[in-house]
Amino acid sequence: MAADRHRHTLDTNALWVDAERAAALLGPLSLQRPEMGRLGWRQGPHPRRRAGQGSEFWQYRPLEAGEAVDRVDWRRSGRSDSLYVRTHERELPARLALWADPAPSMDYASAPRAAATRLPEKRQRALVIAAALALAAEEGGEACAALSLARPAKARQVLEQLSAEASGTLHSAPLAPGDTVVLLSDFLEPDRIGAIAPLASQGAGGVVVHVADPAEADFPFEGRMELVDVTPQAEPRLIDASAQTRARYLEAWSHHVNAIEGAARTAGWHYLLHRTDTPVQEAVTAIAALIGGVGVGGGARR
Amino acid sequence: MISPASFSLGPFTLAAPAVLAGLAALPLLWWLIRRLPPPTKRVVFPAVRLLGPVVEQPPPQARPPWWLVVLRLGAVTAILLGLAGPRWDPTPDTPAPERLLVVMDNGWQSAPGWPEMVAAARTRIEALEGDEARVALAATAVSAANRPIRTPDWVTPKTALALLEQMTPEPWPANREAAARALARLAPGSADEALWVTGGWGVEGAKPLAQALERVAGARLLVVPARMFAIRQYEGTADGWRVQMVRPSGLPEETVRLLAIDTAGRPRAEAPVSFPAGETTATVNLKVAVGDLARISRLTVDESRSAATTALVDAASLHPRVAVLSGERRGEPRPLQSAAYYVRRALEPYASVEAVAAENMTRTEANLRVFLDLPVTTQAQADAMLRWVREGGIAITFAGPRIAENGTRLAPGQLLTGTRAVGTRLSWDKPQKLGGFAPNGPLAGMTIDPEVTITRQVLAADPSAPGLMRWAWLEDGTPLVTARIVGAGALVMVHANADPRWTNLPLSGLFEQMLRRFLPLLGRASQPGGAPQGSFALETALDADGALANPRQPRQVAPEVWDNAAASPLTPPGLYRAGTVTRALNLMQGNGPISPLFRFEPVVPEAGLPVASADGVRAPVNLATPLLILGLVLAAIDGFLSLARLLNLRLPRPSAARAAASATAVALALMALPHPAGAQIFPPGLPLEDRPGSPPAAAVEPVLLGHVATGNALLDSRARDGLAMLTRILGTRTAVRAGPPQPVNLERDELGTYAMLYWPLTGAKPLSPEAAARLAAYLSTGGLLVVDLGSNPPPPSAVRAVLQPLGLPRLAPLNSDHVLSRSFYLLDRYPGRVQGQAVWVEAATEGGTEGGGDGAVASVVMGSADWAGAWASPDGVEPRQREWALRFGVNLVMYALTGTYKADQVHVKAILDRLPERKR
Repeated sequence: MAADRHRHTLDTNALWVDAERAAALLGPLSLQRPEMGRLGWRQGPHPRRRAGQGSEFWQYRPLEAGEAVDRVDWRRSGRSDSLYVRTHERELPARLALWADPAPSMDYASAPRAAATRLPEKRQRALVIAAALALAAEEGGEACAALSLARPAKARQVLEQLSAEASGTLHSAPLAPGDTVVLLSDFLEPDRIGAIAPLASQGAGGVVVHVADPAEADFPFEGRMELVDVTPQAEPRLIDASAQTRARYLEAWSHHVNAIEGAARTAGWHYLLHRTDTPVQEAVTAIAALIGGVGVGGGARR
Repeated sequence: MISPASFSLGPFTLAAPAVLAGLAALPLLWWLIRRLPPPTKRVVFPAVRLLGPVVEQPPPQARPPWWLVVLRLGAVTAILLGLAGPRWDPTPDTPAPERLLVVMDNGWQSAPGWPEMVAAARTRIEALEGDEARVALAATAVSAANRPIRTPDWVTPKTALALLEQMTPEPWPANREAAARALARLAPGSADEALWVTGGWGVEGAKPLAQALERVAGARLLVVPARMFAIRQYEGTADGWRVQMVRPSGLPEETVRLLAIDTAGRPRAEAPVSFPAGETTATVNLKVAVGDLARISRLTVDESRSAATTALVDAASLHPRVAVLSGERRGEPRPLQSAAYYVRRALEPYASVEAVAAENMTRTEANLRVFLDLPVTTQAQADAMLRWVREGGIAITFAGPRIAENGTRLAPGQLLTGTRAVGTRLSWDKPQKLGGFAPNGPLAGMTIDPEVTITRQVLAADPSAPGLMRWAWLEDGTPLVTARIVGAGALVMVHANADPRWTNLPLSGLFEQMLRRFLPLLGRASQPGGAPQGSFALETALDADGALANPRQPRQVAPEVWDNAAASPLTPPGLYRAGTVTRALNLMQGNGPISPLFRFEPVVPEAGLPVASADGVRAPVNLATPLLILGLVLAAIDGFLSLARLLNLRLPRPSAARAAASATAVALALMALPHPAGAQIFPPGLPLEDRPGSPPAAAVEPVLLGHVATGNALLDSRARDGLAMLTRILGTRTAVRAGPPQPVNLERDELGTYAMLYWPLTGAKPLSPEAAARLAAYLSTGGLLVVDLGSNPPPPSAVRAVLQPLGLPRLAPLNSDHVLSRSFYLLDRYPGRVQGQAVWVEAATEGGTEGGGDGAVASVVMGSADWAGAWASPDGVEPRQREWALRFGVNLVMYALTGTYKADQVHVKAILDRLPERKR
């Protein structure tokens, strides 16, 4: 099938070039933590409101038995009889979890009307957006990871991981509260919409990016034709693409969009529709605006 | 003819109407096309699942696009219609008569439209129906002189068609009166209809013929128009012909091409002839390349080949082209001493005269060459010239000192070496006067000018030799002008100079008259006196279409009536020959039908007959072929589109429709094309060749001395060393700065750059013609040749053999009065390694023994002193003797450079003698 063939020939190098260009135009990305009560955004380590490694003072606690004496904060201990240890607020980078749908339906690009511009497949576009976001986040000092692995990795590794993912159900590693999730999918697989709520329930914020081909949004067919789904067992469907059929399809399409958007809103996430005939930069900038901010330098790379 | 199976609807006929039944299958085809839709497109579209599992009505069958239906139905329709054999025959349907009299105008004016005229007559004859139908067919021009126009017989249409096929237009005028007389013998009213088929021109005899026709039956005139042109006049000019053409009046502006065709039938030159709107005449100057002029056999019009537009060209119509070849040295002497000057002044009003360098003798195209004291001695040149004379050239040779010394192969008879001097200081007798002119020669009847005297002449060895004609002689009977006919040309010899040194003939008016009398020799040299030899016999006939053919019957024209001969059955136009003379007889010649005032006059008003529609002669248009082509093209387009869909070529629909539309347009255009027009042949544009650039002259030293490479290493090295030493001496003693001496190959190297050529001549190998021509050219342009025979000179005969091709004048010993002995040093001896040998220079030069004081400069110095040897090394030469040798060398170079500049040195003694006298 055509979809399988495309899968094997996914050229991450080419995608990486596009992603680098998009990230360079975007600049460093820092994740926004509005739920932490800080109005502004800051780049770098984010305070975790618990003791841990960090620069900010958290609290003093009594020296526990068996603890090394050199950890005693003598200045505090001098004011009382017991010995205290100074602890710091734990600070960890925020994590950006990315997922690009590996479903076969993503391996689709409609035949362009003019031969000059060739549309990318939805999956290619999703991977480019994901890689661009990962790269920008990396520059912003944030940790990024593939949603299924959750282990922070370099942006390029994230791209490789995402592109190597096998099609199937949406699989997610456990998320920490405060993580930011970006889902890039067409949500045509039946389980996709339902997977948003469980992710949100783990405390993560996120953006649902609905990647759509212009043909899917416009249904530009005319006359008698057979439409075939990408799944191998699918029967070709003979339709007469009249105005009536188009209306019926467009209705189903808006229903689909509404379903995704509703699921995202319910979970408190953002929804974004991205058509593959629009520039990748548009999507990356919109997503970045939703999940964080770009550096003051606006594109200057450090 | 209409067969029972055919179908006709007015002018539209179908050969096989049964095929049209196939058109009934068109609705079936239409139904089939609708039933067999194009295959459904299959498109991958993942979002189809959004449509849900609703089972919908299977959509109706797709319909093929309208243009496909049109394409296929159109293809089938066109092929079926084409197979039905449709013809558009616009001949109006006239009631067919039973007995038809057809008169074909077949004079020279019918030639352009003859096929159409025959077709028109054929249509009328074919239209006759019934077994009782009879046709009488008559022509207005006789096919030959001995076949008069006879009263036509009534024959069956089939026979009449066969007779019609045999008729041809004739290259002479129609004789309508004779035709009318012949038709008068038919019983009045014996025909149902009389038809006069004509091209529509010429009023002569139109009335009697019309009356004769009217008497026989109701007569009609069928005019078949054609493009008519005629050459009215033509005359030779210096570079071609001036041609006046004429056409019928009232026509719009048009241009035709006038061609000059050579003897091989190829066009050699062309000129457009533009008739302004409404004008009937146009004149054009047809320019022909000089080299092609003699090869042109006829002038014709490209668009209309007929006897009227063909002018055969003979030698008599050629314009005299005179090449004057002079043996005079140093370019052009003072005009009044130059023979070439007198000849040119005499001939220029009557001919195009061109001065030609002697070395270009064979390369120049001319039909009359005048050799002025220019001996033609080499075999190659003489052969070329004699061949040219045999082909009709006229070679006129004037004698002079060079011819007296060397003779010439172009003399009509053997010449005695040397000159006969009369009336000079050493002879008793007085200068000779003219004695008379031969009455049968071209000079016959000229008056003898008593003032003309001759003091020196070249004598013929045998004045009574067979074939040698004496055209003019002196008082004592010695010939002054002799001639001999060679082939179609003539050799003429004037036994005196053309400049005033030997005779004052060039100064008299007689000279010009004489030369003028020679011009008409062109083309009729075999009858120099104008007396013809036998009759002119027709050799090649010109037919009415302007093509040359073998004569159908032998024809003779007596020479005395030649000038009045006109194209007629008795004297058909063509090329006639008498002996070696070829003459052309054209329509537009003499009293021919195309007079200088000729106009095309329409026959219709003169005849006064009702005119039948000329449309009837249009050939039926065959519609089958274009229809079949259209059908096949449409089918091919359909096949291509189907194939493209099968192969899933991405053809967007709009462009497919466009492609179909444009292909249909192409097919329609193809159909609109008439039958392929005759290919026009244009002479291919010749790319301009890059001329080889002249050799670079930058490296040339101001003065160069050369020595002729002999191939003998010792001689060459000694000559080089000698000249090198001489160059050094020149540098120290004179202002001459000469470059290093160069060996010179006479056959290859450019000679003109050398001031002086030193030639150690030892061998007896004669000069090659090429080398001789180049060396002669070098000498005539002011070069100095020093021939050194060495200390061991070869026998004089050998030297003469070597130098013969140069045509050198007489040499005389160098004396101390010659400019050469005074040009730098005053010398009285000229030794090399050998002392005491005489040095020879041209006799008739300044300071020479025969010098007339006219400033001539010698171009040849000859001696046997081995000068180069003396110059090269002092070994074995006395220092004093070597000094003399070097001084002579300096004098040679100075003489070569300054010529007679130091001539006053020659006369200084006399000048000095006179000066004190004046003062006294």
